[in-house]
Amino acid sequence: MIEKIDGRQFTILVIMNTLGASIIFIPSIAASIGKENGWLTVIIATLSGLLIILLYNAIINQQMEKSIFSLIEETFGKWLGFMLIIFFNGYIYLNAVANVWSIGDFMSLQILMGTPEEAIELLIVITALIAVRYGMEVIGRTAEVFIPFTLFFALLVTILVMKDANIENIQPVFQLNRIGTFVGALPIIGITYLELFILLGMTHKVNRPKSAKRGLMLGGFISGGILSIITFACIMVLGVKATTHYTYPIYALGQRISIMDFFERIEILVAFIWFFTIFFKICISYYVLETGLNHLFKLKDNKTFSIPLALLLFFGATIMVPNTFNAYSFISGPYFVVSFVFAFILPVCILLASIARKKVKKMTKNGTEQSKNGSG
Amino acid sequence: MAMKHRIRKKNNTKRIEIDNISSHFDVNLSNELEANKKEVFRLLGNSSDVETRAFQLGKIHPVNAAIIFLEGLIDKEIVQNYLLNPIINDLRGTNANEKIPDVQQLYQYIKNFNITTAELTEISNFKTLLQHLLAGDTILLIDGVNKGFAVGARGAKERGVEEPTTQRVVRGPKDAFTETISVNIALIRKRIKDPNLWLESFVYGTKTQTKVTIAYIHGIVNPGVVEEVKSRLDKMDIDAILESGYVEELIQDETYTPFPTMINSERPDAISAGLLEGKVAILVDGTPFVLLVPALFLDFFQSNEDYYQRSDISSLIRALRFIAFFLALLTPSTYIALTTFHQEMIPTTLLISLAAQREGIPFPAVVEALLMEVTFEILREAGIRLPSAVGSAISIVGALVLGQAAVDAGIVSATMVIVVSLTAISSFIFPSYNLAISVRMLRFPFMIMAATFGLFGIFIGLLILTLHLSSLRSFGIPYMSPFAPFISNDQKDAVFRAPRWKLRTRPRLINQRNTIREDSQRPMPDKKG
Amino acid sequence: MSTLFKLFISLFICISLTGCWSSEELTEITLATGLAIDKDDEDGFKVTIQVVNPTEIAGDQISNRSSVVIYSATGKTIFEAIRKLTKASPRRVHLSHLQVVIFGEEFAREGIGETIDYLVRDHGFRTDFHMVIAKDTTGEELISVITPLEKIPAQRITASIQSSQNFWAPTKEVQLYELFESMTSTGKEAVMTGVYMVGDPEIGKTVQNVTQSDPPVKTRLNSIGIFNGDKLIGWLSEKESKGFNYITNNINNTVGWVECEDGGKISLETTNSDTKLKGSFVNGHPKITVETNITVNVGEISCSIDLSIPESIKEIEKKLEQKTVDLINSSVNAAKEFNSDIFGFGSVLRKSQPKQWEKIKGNWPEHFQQTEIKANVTIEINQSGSITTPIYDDVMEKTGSGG
Repeated sequence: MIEKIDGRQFTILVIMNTLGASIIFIPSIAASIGKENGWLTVIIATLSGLLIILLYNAIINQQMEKSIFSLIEETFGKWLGFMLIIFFNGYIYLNAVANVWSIGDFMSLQILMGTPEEAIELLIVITALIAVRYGMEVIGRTAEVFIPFTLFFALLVTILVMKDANIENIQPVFQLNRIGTFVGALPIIGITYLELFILLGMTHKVNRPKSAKRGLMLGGFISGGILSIITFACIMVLGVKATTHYTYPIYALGQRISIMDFFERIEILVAFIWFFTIFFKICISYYVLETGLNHLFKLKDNKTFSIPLALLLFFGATIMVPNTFNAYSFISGPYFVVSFVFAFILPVCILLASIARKKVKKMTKNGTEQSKNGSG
Repeated sequence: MAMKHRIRKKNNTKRIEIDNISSHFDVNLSNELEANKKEVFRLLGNSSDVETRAFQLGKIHPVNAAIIFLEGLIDKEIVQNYLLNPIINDLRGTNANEKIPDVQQLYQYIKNFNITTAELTEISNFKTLLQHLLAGDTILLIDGVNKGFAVGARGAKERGVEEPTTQRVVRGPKDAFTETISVNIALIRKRIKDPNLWLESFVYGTKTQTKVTIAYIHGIVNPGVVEEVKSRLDKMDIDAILESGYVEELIQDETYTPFPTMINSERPDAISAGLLEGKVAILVDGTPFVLLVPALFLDFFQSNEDYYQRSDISSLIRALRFIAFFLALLTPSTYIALTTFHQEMIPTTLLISLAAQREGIPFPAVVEALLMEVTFEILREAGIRLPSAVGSAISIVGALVLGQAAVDAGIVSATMVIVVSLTAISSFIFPSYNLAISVRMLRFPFMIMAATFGLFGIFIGLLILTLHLSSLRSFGIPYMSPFAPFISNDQKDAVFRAPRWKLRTRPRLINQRNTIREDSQRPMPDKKG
Repeated sequence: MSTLFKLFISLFICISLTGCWSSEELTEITLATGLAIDKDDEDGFKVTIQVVNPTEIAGDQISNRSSVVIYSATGKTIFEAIRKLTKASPRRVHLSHLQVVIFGEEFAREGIGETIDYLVRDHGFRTDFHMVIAKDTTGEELISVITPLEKIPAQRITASIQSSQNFWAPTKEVQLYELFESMTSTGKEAVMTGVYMVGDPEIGKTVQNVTQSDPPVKTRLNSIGIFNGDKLIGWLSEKESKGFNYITNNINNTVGWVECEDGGKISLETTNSDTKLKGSFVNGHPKITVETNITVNVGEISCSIDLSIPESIKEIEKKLEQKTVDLINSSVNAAKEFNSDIFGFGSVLRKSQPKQWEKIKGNWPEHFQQTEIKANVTIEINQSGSITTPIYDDVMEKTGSGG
């Protein structure tokens, strides 16, 4: 049976993919660079992110229901295509490993003090393995079950802490630090919208290319909105300094929830919003990685690589990232460059080459036809 | 794969044996009555309940005849009044040969003029003879004819239609299916007087020869599902079907799942409602539990009464069932996670009183919880097996006394008793017993996850559970619909039940045609003056 | 689907092999409700915790043992000191339910910056505890006092800070994130409520203290302590503290009084107070306008006044306005004296006049001294209790005629 997910499920996966990881880092990054205008930074990032989505949509147009890997191979020929697919897979792998690591790091730091990070990472990788073995359809449906809770909790957190909001924290609006406001958008795009490039690896699973494009746009827009609101809430409630200082500002935001002075300390729910989003993000990366490898090795059965990949993800996560501080400087600096190269320059090349190739093909076709006509 | 192959092979060899035996039965009746009788007795191993009554037709040139029946399975009144009485009396004074020159004609005469029962089948070989005989028909054999009659005069003792015992309602019909399939079919027919209610019957079970009937409403049902049901039933190869559970296990989509993928009900109204939604009912002779497919996860949260009560009440009760589902599943594990991992989440005063209770308890929280849960499961199971007069009393008293005494002795904490009771009560709220069982089973892995990873473990567990649920299908229909895939049109009758005039369409995935159910308008009292 | 089955098995094995790392049974931990940080001459830090004795608070049989236990340890760093507590306490100390953190005055005067960093960074803490200063004493002594009514002394301090802030006003509820924000940002200085004790600290430590209806040792809330950077530099008086709360819009409900013409007093209950700070620059000098709108109820009248006459109401309003302006001014003066911008005037200027603020931000303390503060107070008397004419007149009449 051919697995297909519908437009709604794809939209949800886009939201999960954008929010995963970023929802917990972004307020901090935005506030550290954009200061009190951090929420504006996120809005700017969202707007430019939508432009990037337009680029991706153009690639989906070129794909014509094939997978991105076939497109790359067709466009660049066998050898260059092979290399590019390997690079692309490397990027996805890096991404997946970073996500597995960050969730393990967060859990072992904030929630399960004392539990080794490796154990948590192993558990997550095993769960992702189960998910990937079930296939994209099941992942899509599961995401559909969890999205209402995720959005509900995100909204709940924002509403419940608003009693502590202090409008002075975001004043003066866009007076100082204007350059920072714009510059801050770059790393944010790096960990949100540029990572949507990975999703192109599964657009051929969406039942219609049109709904894939719509899903990408809508999902990008919704998640941008959520990120802006949450950053806004963080800065309003916690203040710029604290938002910057906390590694996980939204978690600190959750600590401020208090309903009737009894339902307090429910920040763990906030942690799980993030956990669910990042889990689906890992699943998507994992799945696309597997699809890519299957394509490289011309395998039909897409279960072959799941277990070796699970091991690779696990070891990658435990070995590659030395500590939290390193990861931070990486996210706000070099990572953007990596993302930019792989998720912006590469797609642009693919797009241009694909268009050019089609033009050439058309011309040669016309040419041969003309020559035929000429000869006939 | 290899293992599966081996099993298939084994089955094949078995089947050959069975076929040999049945082909042995497949012998035509002979012309001689005595030989036939002897053969029947031989085939049935001279069982003591096989009885025969020999008599003669006509006085002058009598023709020997006999009836064979199984004691207890026939209605003797009918046999006497409508079989023996007409035949013997009509032909008594006559010379059989005079009136009917030929035995063959006599045979036709008896068939057409003497036997007055509604059910009458001609039989010509031992296989069908035995089938009818064992099903409770009376066999009439006449000397000189290599055919016989199976007269439908069944009269085995049956339970009448009584109140349902497992699925009770406050408001709603009080009849329940019985063990007799014909009665059960009649109970459905009585509700749905539609020519499109179609039934198809099959016989399965090489030993039990159990009648299995599938019922559906033509025009509403998805024909693909009917075909799927039939083809899966055809694949069954089993010697005995004693309960619909046998069928369920052989044709369900997934074996290794804690969740039921078929509904069973002993309520004719529930089955009728399912048929009207476009589902297929599978009735099995000998059990009051009728199966209904395809089944969704949601179906196990719905009771028929939801549709008999007003929509606001039903909606609330349904919401309560969902809450109870999570309570039953997660209360002990959440307790473990909170008290051993996330003490900071418990309000200070509550935590202090919990700590005071746990002071001096020798077990870790998880051991304590497992201990109490297992104790409770034992109590509950014992409560079912105990004679009904003492059953429920014992289980409640046992739980109370045991709980109280254990707390006083300082073996378990009072909170744990509360947690276990809450879990237990919550698991009784489901209208379907099989979902309650799955929740009972799943509680334990969740407790272990909670003891290892705290709330994180619980969330991982929920994630795996949801992944698993989303992967399930029941006869092609995604188990988690209408939530995943999300169908907005079906939300009217999912977690909440909309007022009846809003329930215009049938569930979308179950039947794709004839979706309009009704077209009532919102009730508005006439405005007068 | 045997894969699922296998996965479950392997998961199960993983779990049973790895065991339970971070789980702690309730019987293995002890909850700290109060933490006192003091200066230690040898090591640097002295940390004292107050842990609860659950059975004494919520158990079935309550003996007359103390409901809390005190442990202390010293260390070169605060983290070391807290870890050293494990030596003293038989169970692992859980700090997540901390209600109050008390700094000894001596310690606070030398700077609490490191402590704040630790409190923010360590994940064992939560950020919702209150912070106070032990005035004229050490945190250790204060935290050791056993109090009646509230079985957990730390809870008593928290509760009294809250109720005092809600109904009286010269104190301020300070929580970690707020302190952190004001200690790190320019244009705002930190404050913290002080707590002092009366009586002999040695008696306070014994259960004897709670066996009497009038305990010999009591803890009392003092007014607000002012910080400059992370160092405590002085105390506001009660009056000045109240003014501080008016300026920072931190008044829920308080009581004030004005004198009548005949010498009697009228008590007024502030039910609503709303302050807006506006910053501007006049000739390059910063100027802050404090706009305060206060709604009051008449609570008690002990003089002869007819409240049905609008003029008399006006007069009371005017008097109270003047009094409030005085409060505000005295508070501002005190702050100027300590040269500490506890009101956050700097950040007000930053928000309203960002460009000019950038210029003076470098030597804000100097400019703070020169900042002109103008207080505009508007009082509105809302309703006059349940009676319009005071009983006072009738009482006077009766005693007058009788005598």
